[in-house]
Amino acid sequence: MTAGSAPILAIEALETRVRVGQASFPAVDGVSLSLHHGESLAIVGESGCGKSMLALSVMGLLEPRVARIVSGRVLFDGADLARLPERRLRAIRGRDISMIFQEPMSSLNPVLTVGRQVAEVVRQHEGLSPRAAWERAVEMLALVQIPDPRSRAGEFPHQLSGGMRQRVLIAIALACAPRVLLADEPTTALDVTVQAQILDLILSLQERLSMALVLITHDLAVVAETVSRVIVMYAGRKIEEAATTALFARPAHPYTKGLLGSLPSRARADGTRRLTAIRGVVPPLSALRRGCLFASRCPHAVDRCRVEAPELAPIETGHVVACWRAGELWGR
Amino acid sequence: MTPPLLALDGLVKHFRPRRGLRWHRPRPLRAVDGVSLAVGPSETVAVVGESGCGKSTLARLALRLLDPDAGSIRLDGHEIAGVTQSDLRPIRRRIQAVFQDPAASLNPRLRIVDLIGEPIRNYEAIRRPALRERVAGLLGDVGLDAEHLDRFPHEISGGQRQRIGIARALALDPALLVLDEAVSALDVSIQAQILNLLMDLQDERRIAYLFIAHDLSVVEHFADRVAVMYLGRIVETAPVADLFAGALHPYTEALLAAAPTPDPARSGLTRRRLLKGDPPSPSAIPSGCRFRTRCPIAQPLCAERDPALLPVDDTRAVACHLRP
Repeated sequence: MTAGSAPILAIEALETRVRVGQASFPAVDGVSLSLHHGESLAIVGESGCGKSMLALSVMGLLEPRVARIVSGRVLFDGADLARLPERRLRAIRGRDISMIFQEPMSSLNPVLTVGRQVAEVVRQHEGLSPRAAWERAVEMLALVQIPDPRSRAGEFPHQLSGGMRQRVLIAIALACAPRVLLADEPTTALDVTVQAQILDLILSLQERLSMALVLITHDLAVVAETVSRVIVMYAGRKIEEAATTALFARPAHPYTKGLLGSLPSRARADGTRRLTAIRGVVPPLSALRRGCLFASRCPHAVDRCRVEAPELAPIETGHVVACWRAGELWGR
Repeated sequence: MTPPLLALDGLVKHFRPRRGLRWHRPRPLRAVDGVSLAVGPSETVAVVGESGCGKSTLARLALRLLDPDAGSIRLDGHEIAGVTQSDLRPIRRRIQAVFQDPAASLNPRLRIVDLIGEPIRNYEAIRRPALRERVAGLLGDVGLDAEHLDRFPHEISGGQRQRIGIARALALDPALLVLDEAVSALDVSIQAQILNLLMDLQDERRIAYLFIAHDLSVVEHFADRVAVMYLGRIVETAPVADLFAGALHPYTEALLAAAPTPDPARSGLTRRRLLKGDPPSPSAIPSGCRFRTRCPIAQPLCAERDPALLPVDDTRAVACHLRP
């Protein structure tokens, strides 16, 4: 992170609510973050923590009848994406900010060739002729290391393996050389040897195209391998943010500590066979949002935690945490 | 050496696709293609491999949910491969299973007391009050309160549902549990709870586990012995510590190298030797060594001869022409 320079993407106190029947609940609850040019950031958390809703809010891809942004700002290039009309958002989405999704099969159109699906993006955004767009598509497929890209471009998604489909999605996302790439669980559906290839590809392209990367994942091991900064989310709120090395070396929030303690490989390094599991489960969206939302599962919770929500506060340089007892428990 | 609880020998299962279009003759899918594996009493044996390697088919064969095309399955020394379903009945209570998706493997219309009680009623004439008591005891064993007895599966969380799946599998006091990706779908904090529970149950009941998994860090933590599968074959078996200290088969090496490490200090994709490409389809298995098309050290010999799984010492075996 270069201090002083303006962030390329800044999210300020974003709140996104989802509607369930007559009621609505905050899926993203006052999250702020900033991302600088060329930086890599991970958002981690377990299912239901709001990490994907956050990404969809940034992209303006929320299903309007189900979820909407109720407050906060998403600043990109001085414009607030949360308030931009759909027409202007369309010009930015896929050109300046792109997203890769988890399931490559359901994100690709099964009846169009993959080459055409890549070409569509550049035709839309850069107004290239069909022939030039096709050439760009072949170039992009080569860039994501699809062997024999010219003939592969003429194939349909079902003719490609899972790893190859994910490469096609990356080619689509990067076709217009975006400045920000959001990758939502890009390797979760893939086998481990293919996962390694895809992560390697995303990271090398990030560097080559000097993009900023937001990696959304539940897998802490993937985080440790890939990004320089991490945000931990719990029940819609950001609860901790730190440099990756600092977070793994000295996690400050009891939830982050619990997540790391749940990892079998970390337990082994400490010489214990029992895992420090977190008791209980993530509260449902409909749960009463009072105090610290982790309090019911926290081994260190005191009365204050149950009534008053802790604000994010710095615990060391570049490391913030939302926990009343973080200072006292720090390093323990 | 104590005789194995479960002994699989030369198991083969090929799926023949139903005849497709007239001009298209589909090839058989060789899901399990000659697998031998033993599980000792109160031992945890993990079978690892990527999707399509045949590990779940192997689990289903061991449970006799599928019939093998060839090979033998012995449980407590009894051959169960060719046995009729009715003769299988008394043996089947010795081997039970927990599957990946607890929501899909529990009947949504049954209350928890009936879900867990079903296998018991299947084998014993038991009155309702006694059944409720037995089930309440099993719920306690898996860390749930008796208040869950009359609930339905949709009323509880995913982690609790997997506990119900485990209680149901334990109901007949089996000697062996087949855990087919039993913790794979769970969030990491819940996964840790379930792994702790499984380890406690093994300590208390001296139960053996056949643990089908793809997550190597879980396997390293949980298993005593590991069998690595690739395209329908076991390519390496070893005690867990030996395997993770130094793999012999190039595929095992690649798997270990590809698994991310949750430690920024010693991770780094750049140091890794990444395996190229995806695994071939089990309907088009390469000639000779089936790993040769992705193998970084393959030689011409590997295309000609299929390597057998040969013992390296008392505890390890590997199927590779060039190793050890």
